[in-house]
Amino acid sequence: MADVVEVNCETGEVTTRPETAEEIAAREVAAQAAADQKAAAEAEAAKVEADKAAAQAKLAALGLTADEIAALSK
Amino acid sequence: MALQSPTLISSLNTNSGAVGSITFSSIPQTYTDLKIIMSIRATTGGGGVWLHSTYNGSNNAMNACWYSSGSAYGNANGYGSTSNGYNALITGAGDTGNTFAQVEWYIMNYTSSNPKTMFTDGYEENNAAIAYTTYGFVQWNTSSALTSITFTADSGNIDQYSTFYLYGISNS
Repeated sequence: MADVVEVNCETGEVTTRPETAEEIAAREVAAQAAADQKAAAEAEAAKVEADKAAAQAKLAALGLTADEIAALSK
Repeated sequence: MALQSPTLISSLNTNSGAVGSITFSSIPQTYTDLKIIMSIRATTGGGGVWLHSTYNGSNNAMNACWYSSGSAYGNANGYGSTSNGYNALITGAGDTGNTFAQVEWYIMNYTSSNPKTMFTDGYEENNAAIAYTTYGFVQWNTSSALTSITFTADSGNIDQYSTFYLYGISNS
């Protein structure tokens, strides 16, 4: 069990106490939510990159040069 | 009116060992803005661990939490969970040993009765191909003045030798 550290900014007193069961549970819920969000964001970024590569390949197949394809996104 | 240079209000470190959370409480109400500078690492995870923030013990009044991150994985944007208030990715245990993320947290008009705007810059240190940079903002929609702020890592604990500095900035 980790400690919780608090500094009182008015007095400078530092208090250290064990983390409560409720605090541990709340952190576990937050951790799962954060992991889910991070995975979703990375998956979305990967999909965008894959879609972009597929679109560029299709444009190249139509005869556009690499410079012409790049100009479309400027 | 121009802002004055920051005044150190308080500091904390975890030199004695990893901790679950750190809190600045009873924050003086005599400044205009607050700035927090952190050097921080989490005990688990890697490739970016979310740093959470909690204001006055609860994030019930959070009404926006946006982040933008970049890394070798690509760029990502999104809304963070308002209940978690996370908007900075920090160094984790899977990253290079003895490296720490550099995070700055700026809180505007923290004593105001209007919504408080906060923005963050976070730089995960990792001497490898993957290291996140994040920019984020939070709007805390409450008429209450900010009196305490708590930081936790979403994965594991805040590692040993992390440091936190709270500064007050006045405009007069």
